[in-house]
Amino acid sequence: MMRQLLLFSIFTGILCTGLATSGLAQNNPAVLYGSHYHREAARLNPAKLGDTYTNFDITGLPLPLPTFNLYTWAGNNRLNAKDFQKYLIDGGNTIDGATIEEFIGRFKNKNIIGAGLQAQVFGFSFKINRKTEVMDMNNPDLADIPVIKRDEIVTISFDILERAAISTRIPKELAAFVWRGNGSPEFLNREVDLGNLSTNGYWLREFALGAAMPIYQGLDVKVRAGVRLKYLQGIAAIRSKRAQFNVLTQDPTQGGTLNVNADYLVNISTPLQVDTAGNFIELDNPSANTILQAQGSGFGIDLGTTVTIQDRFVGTFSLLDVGAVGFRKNVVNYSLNASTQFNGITIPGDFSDANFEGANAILDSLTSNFEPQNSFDRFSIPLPTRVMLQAEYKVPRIDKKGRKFNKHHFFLTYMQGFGEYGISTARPSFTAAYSHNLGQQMNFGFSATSGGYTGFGVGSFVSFKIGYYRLGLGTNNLTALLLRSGGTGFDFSFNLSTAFR
Amino acid sequence: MKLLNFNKKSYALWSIGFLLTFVSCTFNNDVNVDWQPRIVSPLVNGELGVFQQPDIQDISDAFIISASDVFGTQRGSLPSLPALGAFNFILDPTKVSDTDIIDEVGVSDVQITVTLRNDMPVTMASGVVIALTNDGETTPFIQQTIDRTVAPGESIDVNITQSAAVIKNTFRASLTNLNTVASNSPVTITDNSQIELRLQFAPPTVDYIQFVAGTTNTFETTVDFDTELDQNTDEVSGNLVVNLDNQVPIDFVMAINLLDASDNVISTLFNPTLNLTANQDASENISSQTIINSLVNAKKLQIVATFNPTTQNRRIDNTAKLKYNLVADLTLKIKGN
Repeated sequence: MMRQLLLFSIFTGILCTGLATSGLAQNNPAVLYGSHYHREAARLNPAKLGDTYTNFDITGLPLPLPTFNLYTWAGNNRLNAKDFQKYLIDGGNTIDGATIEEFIGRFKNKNIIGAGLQAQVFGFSFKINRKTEVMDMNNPDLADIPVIKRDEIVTISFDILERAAISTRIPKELAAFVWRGNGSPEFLNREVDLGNLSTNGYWLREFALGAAMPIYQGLDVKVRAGVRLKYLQGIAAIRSKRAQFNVLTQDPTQGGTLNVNADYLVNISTPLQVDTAGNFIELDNPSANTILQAQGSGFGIDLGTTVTIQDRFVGTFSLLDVGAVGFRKNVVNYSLNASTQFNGITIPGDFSDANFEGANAILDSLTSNFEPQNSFDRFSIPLPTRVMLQAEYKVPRIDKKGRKFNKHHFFLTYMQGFGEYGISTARPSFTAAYSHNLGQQMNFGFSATSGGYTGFGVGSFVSFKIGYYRLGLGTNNLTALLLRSGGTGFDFSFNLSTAFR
Repeated sequence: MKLLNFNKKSYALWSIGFLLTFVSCTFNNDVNVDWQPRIVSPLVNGELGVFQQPDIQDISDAFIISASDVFGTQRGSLPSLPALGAFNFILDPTKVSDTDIIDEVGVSDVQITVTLRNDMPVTMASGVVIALTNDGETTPFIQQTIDRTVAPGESIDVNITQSAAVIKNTFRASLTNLNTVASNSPVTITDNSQIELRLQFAPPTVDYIQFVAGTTNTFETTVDFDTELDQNTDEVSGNLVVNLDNQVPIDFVMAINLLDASDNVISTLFNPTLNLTANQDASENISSQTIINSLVNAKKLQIVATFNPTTQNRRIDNTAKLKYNLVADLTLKIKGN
């Protein structure tokens, strides 16, 4: 026990270091750290598939209880739960200019808000074992009666998953620039970067064929590898491929010249049709078929491997969501690439200039340079590629039926996204978690995360085995309840599936 | 439904809309938010100079050579008429400036259209010479021979071009070597049996103007002007910055006026006027709320630069300009919030 406390202290210390560096991306601790959802955990750790004593499990059949798996999250890195409580729940407050200024003051170099959902409508997995007859050494009296020993060859899975995510990145000075105006002293005589106001999002339907198997089993070292091959249908997407906007305002006594440079390209595809002018056409008779129709498709792959040493130390490497989805239908691309220097409307000195119509519509004369262009070419979005590195320490036990389980399980998880896309954020996340297993019947634990969308977050999870059913709840982020000024997001995981011996 | 619309002001409006929507998505909060950004934007820029002298932009005149000048006292029907001429006519003086403020003008790319209409009952012979000569000079600055006949009742346009010329404030047109062709058929001479000559200068490139010393002159422009602030704002305050750059070696007295649609002055920016020294620039910060209110409502802008040249500085070439630039530095209370 002392050893476990010591380990826990070390983990906590590492976590605090992680908090100081504000590292992270989203994960789903209820399945990643729980013991009942190996197939769902394989979305983050493909080698985890089959890491269970059950041989067959299924989600999505209309059994006596409809089973499904849901993970939803939302987060930002500037507004905390206290703000939501104050302004959206409690009420009775005065929202004035000072409130806005206080809010604007929180904007820093990276400001991001995002939300997402993963819903599994169907999935199953089964384990293919090699059966051998061995002597039951646990019962010396029956040593001459062989028993069947099952050694996993491979575990196969198939999943259908609806996954959607959207994130918006807000440049540091945009809100202040808009609120205070370009004439505010801090914006004069310097180039203000208002670009990177970008929104990226997708709604995909994922068909994943997974496999995991032990690839090396030594006395002290075991290596396991997993892969998920994914065919994805694209239902809708928005991608800010280019997002740059700079404004330089000269001091008024020097002429007040405005230099504006803009370079934007936004790709959109939705179930709504687009007319030749780039406008979306509202559906006359919306139906599920129309809404759920795929606008494109693509492929992806998840790879993972784990190395287990002495049944206690585990190292995991996962490369997730490598691939892309192309969108072909109902596409509209809005582009804007313009730069202008505005010195006011020029009044020609020569009256013979017949084109001069007076100094009317001054604002229009500035903005007329910034009309977006429409095109309808296909586009693709990258999948939210992430790398996960995880270290585990587990304390194995044998249950009454002779099955191995991990009574105590410590995790350190580092997740790094490659860009701001959906569930992926370039802000790395760093999670420390502990999971406690009560003889396979009940599993619970807690986690602490830093970085990602929401910064610091503490969460917990619990799951139960009730006959064939596995019922679990979890969240990565209870900070809003515990430390309201520190919580800037939430997530929630609900899992109900079935598993069979 | 256009989900994204970058045009006009929507970029800014979407952003602030997001901000305001967020803070106003409350159950019972007291939302007391006035969006009052401080906006700096140039409004107009322009220049005044010799090229704007309206007198030079429209040099034209018309002359009549009467029946008496050609036919003397002869009137009525004649069985035939012999050839007459040659006649030489020095026409009435033409003035560039009726107010005599201009001494001479140097111009380039001179284009003159001479319209000659023959209302005589006989053909005007080929070889008529049209010339324009400054007063006090003997050599014309424009001369053109019409190498064709002009039939009775015919009107012809003769386009004369010349790369450069110096035009005095007063010059005279002349018609020389005018002959008529003999007619063997009957002709009728009336008081209207005359020749009409019209001169019309296309606006030339003015290289310089030499003003008459001691006179009072102005460079002036009035243009339509609408900031549209009256449509988009509830309140406007702040400053109107006027930047002036006098590249002319003459002192100016500046007046900038805001006018309504009927050309009535509703505000004068400099009260009474601003003295702008030769070859100097200046920046004036106008914060009068009355003037700012007028700026919101103005429909025209008038700029007048008055000067009194001396003998030493009376010649102003076209590279010398008086530049002006109006910049809004205003705090706007945006409508609808």
